[in-house]
Formats: sequence, C-alpha cells, structure tokens
Amino acid sequence: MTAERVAAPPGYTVLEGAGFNAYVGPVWRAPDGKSFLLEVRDIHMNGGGAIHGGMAMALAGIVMGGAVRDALDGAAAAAVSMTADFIGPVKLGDRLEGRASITRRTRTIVFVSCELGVNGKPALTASGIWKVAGGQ
Amino acid sequence: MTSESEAYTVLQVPARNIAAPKGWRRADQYDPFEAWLGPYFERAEGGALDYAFLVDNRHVDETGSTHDGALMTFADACFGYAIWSATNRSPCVTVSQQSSFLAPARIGDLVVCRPQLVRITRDMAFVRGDFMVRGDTMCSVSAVWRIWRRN
Repeated sequence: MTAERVAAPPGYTVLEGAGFNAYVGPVWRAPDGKSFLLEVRDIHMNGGGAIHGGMAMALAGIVMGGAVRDALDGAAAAAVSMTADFIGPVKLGDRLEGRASITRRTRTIVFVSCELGVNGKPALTASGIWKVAGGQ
Repeated sequence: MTSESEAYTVLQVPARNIAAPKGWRRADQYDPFEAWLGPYFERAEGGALDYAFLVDNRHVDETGSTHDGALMTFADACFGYAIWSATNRSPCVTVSQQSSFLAPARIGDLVVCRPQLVRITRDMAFVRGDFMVRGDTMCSVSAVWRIWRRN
C-alpha cells in the first residue's frame, strides 16, 4: 500500500493538490474538465469489500468543489454542508466517476449537487453548500 | 465498517507510528481506508466511548485546513464503532450522512467525537456526533445506517 505508479486514463489529467487529495489520489479530471474519476484501489476499501463511505464522500466533495470553483472563476470557497446518500455498491477496481451541477449561486452561497456512478450506474448522490470566501 | 459478518481483520499500520495522546489508546482498525488515514484513538469516559484523531499533513487541503473528506471519513468511522459496540459487531453500512463544517482545524489539532446513538432498531441506526477541537465544535454530523443483526 505504498507509492504505486498508475497511468492516467486516456485524455485525463491528474487533479493537482496537496495533502488529503494527493494522499488518497490520484483523482483524474476528464478531458471536458467537468467529470472526475477515481480508480478504486485497495487503500480506498472498507472491510466488507466495498469502497469506504468516507472515500466516496470525499470524491463527491472534490467533484462539487471543482464545479464551485469553476462557477466562481477560481475565487475561494469552502464547503459548509454536505449530504450524501449511498445508493449502490462500488467495488475494488471500479472506476467511480461523477460530475456536479450548480443549483444556484448567490453572492455568499453556492448550492451544488452531484452524482457518482460506475459505468453509468448510480452509486452515490450528494448535495452541498459552499460559502464564498469574503462574499458579502 | 464491514458488510460481511466474518470477514474482518484487525489491520496493523506499523508505518504510521503515531503515539496516542495521554489518556487515549489506539482504536482497532478494520477498514483499509481508515488505516490509511489513521491511527484513530479511543477512550472510555463516563460510560461512553470517545474517539479522536490527530490532524497531520494527510488530513488537510492546500491551505492547511482540515479536508472535508478526512472529517467525513472519521465521522463515518466513529459511527461505525458506536453501532458495532451496540450490536455485537453486526454488519452495517452507511445509508446517508449529513455533515456541517463549522470551522477548520489545523495540523497538530486533536479532533474529538463522542458519537451518540439517537435511536437504534433491529435494522436501522440513527446516529450523530459533534466534532470538537479544544472544546469548540468544528464539525457536526448525523447519519442513517442499515444493520444486519447477528442475532
């Protein structure tokens, strides 16, 4: 469970990051810049043969956070609330991928939701609220 | 937590030799992803079990604030421990989790939670917890779990 080199899926680029994102990744960004992909490895699992809920929620946060940053043209924002529903299983080796959509943006708050799935089959739905830094 | 009743193994994580803070002991870890982010610590106090983790550079974002993914994973772990200790380690999974992030923590902070089983039935558990740093709530989480009782 140490540094293994993994090749990017064709056309995908690695999501740059420090700390948690780099440590649990790589997370890949799709060519369109909107979808994010995690190839589920041994470190991401729970003891029952499924992806750990924490990793699935973390990916949902990364997907929604990316959409929020795009909507804010890069302005800083932080998650203040997130709700995730676990609707389908994710197994070792699965490619868990999802994209987010902005529900509403105000000066101070962004409402966002996302769906993660494996081969188009839904696995997790989530919604979140991000606070715009310094937003008045 | 696990969804296969007999398939769990206590994981050893010798690579991360992080000492338990005074008054705490290492919690057993059963899930590879929790071992990846752990160790997590536990203590019994006043008839309840508390859990904690020490924030390090694996748990933060590029600004040095706690990453929501690290907090949601720790919350999920705490709730799993609480349900396991109430159900003779019955298999259980998270159905839904709502997490509020009130304030960030920083590297070196000890994040502490006392999970609260609000209601537990034969096949469902409703659980919540506040996550504290130096006595201030920095995160608040509630969740719904599904249980498959052993007996």
